[in-house]
Amino acid sequence: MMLLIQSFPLIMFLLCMPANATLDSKQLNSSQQSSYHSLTHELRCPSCPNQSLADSHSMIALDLKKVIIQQLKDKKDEKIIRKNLVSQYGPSIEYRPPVNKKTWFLWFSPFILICIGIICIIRIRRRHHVRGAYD
Amino acid sequence: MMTDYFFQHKRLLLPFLIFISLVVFLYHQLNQQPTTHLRPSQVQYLPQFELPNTFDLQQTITTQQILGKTALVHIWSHWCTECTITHPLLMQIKKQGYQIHGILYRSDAHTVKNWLQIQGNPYTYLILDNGSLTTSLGVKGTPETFLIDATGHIILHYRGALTHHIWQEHFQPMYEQATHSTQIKK
Repeated sequence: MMLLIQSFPLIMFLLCMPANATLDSKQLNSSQQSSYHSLTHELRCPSCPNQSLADSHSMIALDLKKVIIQQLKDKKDEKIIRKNLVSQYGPSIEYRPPVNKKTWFLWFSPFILICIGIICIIRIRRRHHVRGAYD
Repeated sequence: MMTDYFFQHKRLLLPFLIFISLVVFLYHQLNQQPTTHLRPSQVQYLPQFELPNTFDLQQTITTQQILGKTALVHIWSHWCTECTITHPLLMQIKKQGYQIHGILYRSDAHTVKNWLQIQGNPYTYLILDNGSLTTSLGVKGTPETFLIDATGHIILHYRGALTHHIWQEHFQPMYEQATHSTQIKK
C-alpha cells in the first residue's frame, strides 16, 4: 500500500504522457526531426504574433504543427513546406523574411543609419581639430 | 537660454525636428486600427478536400460538390461567441437567395445539429474540419468568411465576424458580379 502511495506521482506522470503523444514528432527520423525543429522555431504563430509555432499552444499553432509533421512524414522537402505556409499565411509568418524589393530597406536601414552616424562623428571631430589648430 | 543656443546653432535644429516628427508619427501609428480585416486572400483557390458532412457523419463532402455556383464560405465553431452573433445575418442572407456553405472548425457535430435545429440552418453544406482545411485556406481563427466563384476562385476574404455593413458594401456586389459573369460564360 505504502509503495502504491509513494509511486502515485510517478503513475500520474506516466498517465500524462499520452496527452503529449498526439503531437509526436518522435515518429520522424533524425533529419526530419531537425527540419521540424527549424520550421517550428522559424515560423511565427499566426494568431499570437510574438511566439514561434514551437513556443505556442494555441489551437492554430497545434494545427500547423500537425500539418508540418504530416507533410514531413509524406517526405516533403522543408523548403516546400515553408513555401506552402508562406503562400497560405503571407510573408509575415516568417521570422526571418527574405531580402527582396519590399524588405531591403528593413534589412539595410540600420547599416545606413550607422554609416550616417559615423560620417557625422568624423565631420564634427575634424571641425574641432581644425578649430583647435587655429586657437 | 536654451532657445538662444538653438538659434545660434541652427543646424542642431534639424535632428531635433526629425526626432519630434518621428515621435508624432509613431504615436499616431500606435493608436491606428490594425490593417483592414478585408483582404485579398493569400490562397487563390479552394483547395481539394474530402471531409465529413456534419449532418451525416457517414458521408463526406468533396470540393467538387461545393463548386459550380458562387457561394459564401463561413468558417465557424459552436464554442465561438462571435460566430453565433453572425448567425441571424447569415439566415437573412440565405433568405435572400444567396448560397452559404459552412466549415465547422473543431466542433462537436451533435451539439451543432441541435443548435441549428433551434436557430435555423443557413448552410447548404456544412463541412466538419479539424484544422486540415482551415490551415490550407490560411485561416487564423473563427469566424472568417470567404467568397468563392463557381470555379472555386477566392474573390474575398474577411477575418472576423461578418457585419451587415461589410456584407452590403463588399460581399453582396462581388457576389452579384461573380454570379453574373458565370452566367455569361454558360
